[in-house]
Amino acid sequence: MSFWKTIFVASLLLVGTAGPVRAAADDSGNREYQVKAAMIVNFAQFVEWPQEAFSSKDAPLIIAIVGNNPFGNVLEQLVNGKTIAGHSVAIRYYSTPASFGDCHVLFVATDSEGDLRRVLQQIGDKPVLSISQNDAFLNAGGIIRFYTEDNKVRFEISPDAAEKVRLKISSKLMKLARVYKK
Amino acid sequence: MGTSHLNVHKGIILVLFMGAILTLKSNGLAGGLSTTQPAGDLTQMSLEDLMNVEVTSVSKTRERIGDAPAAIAVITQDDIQRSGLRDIPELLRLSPGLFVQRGNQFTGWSISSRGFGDLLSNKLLVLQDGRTLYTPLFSGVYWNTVDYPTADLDRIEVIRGPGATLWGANAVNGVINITTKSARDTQGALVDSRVGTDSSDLAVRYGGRIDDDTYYRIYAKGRAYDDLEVAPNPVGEINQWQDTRTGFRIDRYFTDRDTFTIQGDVFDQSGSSESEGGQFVPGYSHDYRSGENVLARWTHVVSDKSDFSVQAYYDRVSLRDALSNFEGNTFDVDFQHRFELAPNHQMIYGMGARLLTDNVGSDFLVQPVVDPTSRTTYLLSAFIQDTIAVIPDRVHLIVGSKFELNSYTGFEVQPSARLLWTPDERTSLWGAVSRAVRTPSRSEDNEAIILTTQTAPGPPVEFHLGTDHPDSEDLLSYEIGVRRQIGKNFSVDVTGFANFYDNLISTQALSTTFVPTPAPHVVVNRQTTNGMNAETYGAEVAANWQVAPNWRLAGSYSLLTSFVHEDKAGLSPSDSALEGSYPQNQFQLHSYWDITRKLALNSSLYYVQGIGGDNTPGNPGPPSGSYFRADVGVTWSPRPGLELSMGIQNAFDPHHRESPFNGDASVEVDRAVYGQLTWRY
Repeated sequence: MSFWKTIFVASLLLVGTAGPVRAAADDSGNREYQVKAAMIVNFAQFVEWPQEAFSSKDAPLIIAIVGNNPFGNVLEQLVNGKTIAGHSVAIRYYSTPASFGDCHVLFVATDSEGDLRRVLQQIGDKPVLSISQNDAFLNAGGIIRFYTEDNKVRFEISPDAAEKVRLKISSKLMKLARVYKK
Repeated sequence: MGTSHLNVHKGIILVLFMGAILTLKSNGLAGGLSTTQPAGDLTQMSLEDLMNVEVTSVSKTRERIGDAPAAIAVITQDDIQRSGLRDIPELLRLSPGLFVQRGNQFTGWSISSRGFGDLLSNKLLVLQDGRTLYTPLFSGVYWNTVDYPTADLDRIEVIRGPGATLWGANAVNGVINITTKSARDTQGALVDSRVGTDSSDLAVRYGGRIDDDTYYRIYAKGRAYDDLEVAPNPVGEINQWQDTRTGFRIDRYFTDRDTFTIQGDVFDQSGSSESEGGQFVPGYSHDYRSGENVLARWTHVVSDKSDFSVQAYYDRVSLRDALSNFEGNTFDVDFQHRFELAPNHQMIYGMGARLLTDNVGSDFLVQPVVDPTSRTTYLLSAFIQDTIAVIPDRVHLIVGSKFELNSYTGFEVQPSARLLWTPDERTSLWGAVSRAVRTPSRSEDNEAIILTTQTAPGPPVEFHLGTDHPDSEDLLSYEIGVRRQIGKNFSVDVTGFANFYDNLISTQALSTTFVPTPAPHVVVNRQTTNGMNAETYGAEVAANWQVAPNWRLAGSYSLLTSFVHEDKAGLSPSDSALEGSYPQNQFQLHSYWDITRKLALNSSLYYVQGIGGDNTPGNPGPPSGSYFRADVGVTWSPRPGLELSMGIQNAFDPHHRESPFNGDASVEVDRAVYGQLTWRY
């Protein structure tokens, strides 16, 4: 193929794709994780925690990520200035399963099933809304699992797992979810 | 042979399909989803709206790869959709470090990795859902028989380099692992069809639920391929074929620790080629290929530190073409157990047994193609691997070995050691030393007498190909790699390797004698033996750039140089041509642009450097020139579940040559235009 053809093809690819560069690139990272982060914040609004989950009325609602954080700082952007169930929202990051502290929502970002089980064991009976995107999460006792179908983000909820840790999930959320039953 | 058995299958599928629709509950999405897709940032969107946003799945893949001390590329369903490529062998073009040539008269495509792009491409192990697609007769894969409804493929993992320790022998230069989606992720109905100037296909699938824990799917697919021209002159047309296949998958999740899967497929293919023929191949041939397989797998979680899986499968394939009739049966059982031996030692070990029976005959040749015509071979294997957390979360040492006992060469050991260093969450460095072997194929280990050719003027020539029962080919491989995430939107993956091959199997010319009786003819004696050794050095670079939220660029570059040496005098011409059989440089660039939430423009540019010689003694073999290829496609999704695409492949060249053919000829791949419709409900 001639030199000019090469130039033409290269410029076609560049010109054809020059359009979408936006002046204000407000978000970081990938669309899939932006959507999931927004969904996590939404989930928290449809869940009721038992009284003892918060040490006081001013205690923040803590959303924690354990593992390799895939959200960049999207979660902070989404909760900025928001309150959920009357509580302010704080985001915490923990890199290893061994190290996470108290929280109300926990996103487990690890692919290893061993790590998943370890995390769930550590949560035990505490009223934590556990979320992951691993296939085996609900089998292992987690509450919400993300999956993609037709390039859209969907989620599956295990009502038994939620009941076990005394979390009440609104029927509005259950209606949008695939229901997991053992 | 042929169509009646196919119609029965089609009939069964149709009945099941209709029964399924009528009797089972629909598994549609929960009601109340809005179909509008408002613009604006995500903080304002309701949950229903969020569930309608189109996403790619690049990040999830990147996460996984970051922990692997090997050169891995994952081709996701999103990559598949945006590439405009349809068939599994074509999709492999998307991985760095692979060389895909369309136009092999017998197998449809020749695919090799890191050198030795010869006809049979015997140094790659290819698996689909745990079942090997390798044909023991010629140590290669009949790529024209490898297919699945494209929309139900989950991913294709390409691991370059010796995957020997976990996957075993014949994974010398790489492993290609094709996985289909679980039945749970393919619920509902799917119609996926493509009409193009080069090929067309139609796939139909239905997935449902038998009870709360059991999911299934059934599918049927048909394809038709237009022939490829062999130029110049033209020498002929080859590889016109069509096939149909059908299959099912059932996944059952019972207790919170056990998963059971059973799946099976049946296919039937027929085709024809017409050409000037070559030394051993007639000018016209009718080809028939068919096969069935069934696989079952049980995975059990013992505790949070231990799980195991057991798998068994049966695979029958029948391949009939100009050269031979091959019928093979494979029975395979595998077991794998993962557990924590001590706090920093993650162990995995496994065992497997495989039995192959085969029968080889020929329609074209009077004498047997291989001798004996029927053989039963076995393979027993075991592997063990320890992942040692030298510094937890930072440095891991992975050591292991595979042990095999096979009918051809006896006992083989394939050790490997890998080191992985992750200084932070964005960077990983790894290095590896491994040994891998390739056991001889049926045709390399058996006496074979091939008929004569007549190259006028002159007496007929009779080739006798014997064997001295060669040992396995040997590889010692050194690899290093770096993976780095730069900023939040850019990642790069670099790999380098030096491979030292020994005991490469070659064809040695022993003697050429003129025999006057009964009629004058020339007898050429050749034998397969371990006659060559080689070194290859190369590198692969892959990068991903999320330029803007709706625009992604991805690209890769692959480099290779090889040196082949003779250990025994008298290398055949095709062996001498081995050094030039793989392109030194290849690169590709993809642009994925979501113009709106419903419209996407995807373009790809490929460059493959020429291979082959120039038909001179110093540089034997016919040439196949370098080529650029540009593909552009547009996908429109007017409503959820419906996607319409149109595109052009090879936009700027009416055709280019991809594979050398006999003598000076090469197979040409044409420009193609296609339209595609994918509908899920």
